[in-house]
Amino acid sequence: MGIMRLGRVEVRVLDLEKSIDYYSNVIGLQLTARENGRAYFKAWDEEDHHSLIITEADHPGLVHMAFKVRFERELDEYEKALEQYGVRVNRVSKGTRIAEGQAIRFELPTGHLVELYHDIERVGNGLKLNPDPYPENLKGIAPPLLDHLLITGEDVQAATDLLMKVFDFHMSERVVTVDGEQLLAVWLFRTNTPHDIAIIKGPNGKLHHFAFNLGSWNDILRAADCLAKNNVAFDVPPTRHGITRGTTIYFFDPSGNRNEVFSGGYIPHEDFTPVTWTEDQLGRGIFYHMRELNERFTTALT
Amino acid sequence: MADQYRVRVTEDETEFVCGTHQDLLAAAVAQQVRSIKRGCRGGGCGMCKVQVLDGAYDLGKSSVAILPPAEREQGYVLACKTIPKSDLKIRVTTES
Ligand code: FES
Ligand SMILES: [Fe+2]
Repeated sequence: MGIMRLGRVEVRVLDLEKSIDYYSNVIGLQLTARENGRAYFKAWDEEDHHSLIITEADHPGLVHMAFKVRFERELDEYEKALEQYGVRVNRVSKGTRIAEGQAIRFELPTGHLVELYHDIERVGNGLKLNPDPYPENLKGIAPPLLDHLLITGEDVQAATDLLMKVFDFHMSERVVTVDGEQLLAVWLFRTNTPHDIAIIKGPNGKLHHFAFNLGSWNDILRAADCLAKNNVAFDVPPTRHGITRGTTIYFFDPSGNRNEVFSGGYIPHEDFTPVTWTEDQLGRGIFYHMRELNERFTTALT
Repeated sequence: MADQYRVRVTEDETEFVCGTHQDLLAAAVAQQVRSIKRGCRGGGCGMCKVQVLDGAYDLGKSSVAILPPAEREQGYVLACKTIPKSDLKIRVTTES
């Protein structure tokens, strides 16, 4: 019931052809459709038609994120719940984008557009009858799944309250000021991963990164090799997060949108007690080994 | 035509060379010139913004959100998207 996962992100790119090449051959997603100025991708283990849309524009960044709900009727229920909470909701009609049914759309207090949907064409992963563990002919990093995204905004508390109260997101971790008064960052989940969405204090409406899942630390190392081979710009090479305990690489797509590959982390349940970090320990929380944030990590946003 | 140009950074009086198919940021990094900040290297984040005071160049696809047209007219560029067409004099800038 309710939100099942982060179903898709739509990001703007400066050069569509270059970006199609990067997301197909370096990240290793499957290109499932193209139309004027847009391309649609899925990761190999996903069953829905797409989880990433790239849209050509004169500046990069996030167009929208969308969460998939279990049942179509829940769109009506969430529309009411959002309106009761004081949030305006719009309908996105079927056929607005390729393979998608209708969705409801609203804006977070941080200025990001969020959609909820249930209906999307199912193309499958081809691994449902006496299957092999993974398909043939994977290219590049080839993550199985989209994992999460991190956005920035002024009022982390307001966005957190909305997501927790209306959609029953659960908190895995948070960063607070040393006096404990102010919420600076939060990691929220609906799945059994440490986060489906994270929000950190910063300018409204910006994307910090979106992340794909990988199965192991060894896959992370291999992904870094692939990025180096393809001359991709790194933000932070393989390391561990204190927050979530996951292993990670941050790097940039050809338009400067930050990508991450993420592996591991604990498995939280609905009764998980949130982990708290104080602001003075944030460096250790984000990059457990180096224990400091680089300037690029905090300022390069799209 | 030259196969590389000289790029002078006014503030710290350093100089580096840049190939005719190389962007300014890549050339600076390769020559250990650290005065230009390195961000996304994709024209999206604005960390590498510099002002060209003198010289000709090509500017590749750059985000209008961080490099609006008015700034482009004043010679502001993103080093990661700028390819020299002559020797250049540049100013490293934090404000713009
Ligand atoms: S480094 Fe990000 S715009 Fe050049
Ligand atoms: Fe992340």
